[in-house]
Amino acid sequence: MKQNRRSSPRKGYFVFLLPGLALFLLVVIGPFLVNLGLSFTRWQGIGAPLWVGLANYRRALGDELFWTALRNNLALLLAVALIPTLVGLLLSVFLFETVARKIAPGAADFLIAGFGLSHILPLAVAGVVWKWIFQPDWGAVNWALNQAGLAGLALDWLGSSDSALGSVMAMFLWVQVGCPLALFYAAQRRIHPDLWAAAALEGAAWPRRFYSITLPQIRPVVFAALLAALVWGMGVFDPLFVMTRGGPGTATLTLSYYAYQNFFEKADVGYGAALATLLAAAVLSLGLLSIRILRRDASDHAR
Amino acid sequence: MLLTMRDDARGARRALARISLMILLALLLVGMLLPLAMIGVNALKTEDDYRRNGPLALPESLDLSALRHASQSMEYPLKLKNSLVISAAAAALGTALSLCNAYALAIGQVRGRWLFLAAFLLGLVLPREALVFPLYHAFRAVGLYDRSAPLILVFAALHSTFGACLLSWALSRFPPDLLDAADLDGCTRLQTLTRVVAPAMLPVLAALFAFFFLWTWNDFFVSLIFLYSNARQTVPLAVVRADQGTTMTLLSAVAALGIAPAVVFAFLFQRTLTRARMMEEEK
Repeated sequence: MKQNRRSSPRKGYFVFLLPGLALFLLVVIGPFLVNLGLSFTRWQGIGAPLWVGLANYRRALGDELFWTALRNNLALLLAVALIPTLVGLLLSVFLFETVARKIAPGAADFLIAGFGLSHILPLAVAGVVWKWIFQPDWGAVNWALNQAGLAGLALDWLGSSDSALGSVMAMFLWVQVGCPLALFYAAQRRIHPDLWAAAALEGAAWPRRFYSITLPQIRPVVFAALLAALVWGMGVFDPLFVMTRGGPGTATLTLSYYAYQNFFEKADVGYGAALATLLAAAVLSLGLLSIRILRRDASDHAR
Repeated sequence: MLLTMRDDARGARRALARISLMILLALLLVGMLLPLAMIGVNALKTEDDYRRNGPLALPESLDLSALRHASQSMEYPLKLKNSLVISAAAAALGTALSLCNAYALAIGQVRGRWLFLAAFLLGLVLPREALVFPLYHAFRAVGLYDRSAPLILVFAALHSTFGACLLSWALSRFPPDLLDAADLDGCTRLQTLTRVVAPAMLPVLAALFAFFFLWTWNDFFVSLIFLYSNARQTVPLAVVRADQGTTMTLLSAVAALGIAPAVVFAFLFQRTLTRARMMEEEK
């Protein structure tokens, strides 16, 4: 934050922070600390919590389900964050340099709006849509396979543990890919025209333009979008609740869903709180990384 | 002569490559829109028609009975109203809180502002799973469970973490001359906020409102935990609840009713977001 140079002294502003701060403490910081405290107890949600020290964390480390959930989380990050970022980056360059410049700017805008439509739906509704598509008897995927004479390839997509995680990943790809595409395209439009003119003078070819102009110029946006997607993607819950309930078996169990189960279905609140705290720790380390990178970027810009 | 012929050939090859790439992109777009199109088309069919002609065929004749049935069993108008009230209130309150927070942090430069900003950033990335159970338990204990007003406060607080960070950054570049002029005119802090800062930031505030509205509308996890009774539930909760053991056409009608409002809001808010971006680009 730059300093605003002002003549009069700055007093009487703190009162504006009070309502927001009070609500923040009540809704975020307070509950987080209570949750942390509960993670050191055994508690069923009624009566007094029993202090058990680190027992819940020790239990998590030895719990096969915890590691399965973590593995599933990491696999889902591919579909939520990494692949959409990569695809969005390449597609946005193509849309910006070829479609918008040499064919029609309107076509590029239209494509971006079309690709982004799936991103604005409630995730839970997107889950309902794909559950319908993957329905084993009458769903669109198996129907199309039957029509094409490939009935042998038809599967119970969400109901068999071999294909469930992959099917959920397909849904996430569909939901996510439009967002980085739109962000990166907008970032490329902000690149100064002089840079492109210089590249044209030098006759720089596509890969060189990409590495020496596009990528360095839109790097902050790419980093911010990727890290936001990683942070957000660690906590995915809605479509799993809708499509698979973490199953079949544990095929699509995530940390978020496992914590939810312990809180609300198994009444094992202490363990749920420990799982949620571990999830928070994982997300926070990603968040700290993002602050460091963004700060370094900001100081680069100041120079 | 030879040169122009070679140029022509190269031009033709390039045009061909461009056309095939455009066709590829168009196919990709069709693939992306196909799930939504199928939901829309099959919500307008009879189940008989679906079983005979499959999900990709257009309806033999338009049939609104699935949509009507879905809307009735979900109590759709009521759920629309619930979602609208919660989303609008949470977005308005969240925007107001964000502005006040950022006003104190960026313009007032209150002592310890970096600490507060870091705390808001922490709140922004903390997973909801690590907050909900103590809140749920406390709400049940004091009779706030299953009501919209406390849920609105929860959403507003969660949103304002993002808003405080974003607006602090935007306000840190607010012209100091304007603030000095307001001081000279004898404006109080509140008058400076409402008459100088807020009007100048209007496009950004509108964009923030739009985002908060959509985030609240799209929420499932938090509302699932804090709303229990049918009469208070929101559209996404009702869609998921109606998605059990029904026919394919009824299911697509249910999904269509979940999709429609989101698409409408996206169109409504597009202009708001464009205007905010233009203001950003002018700077």
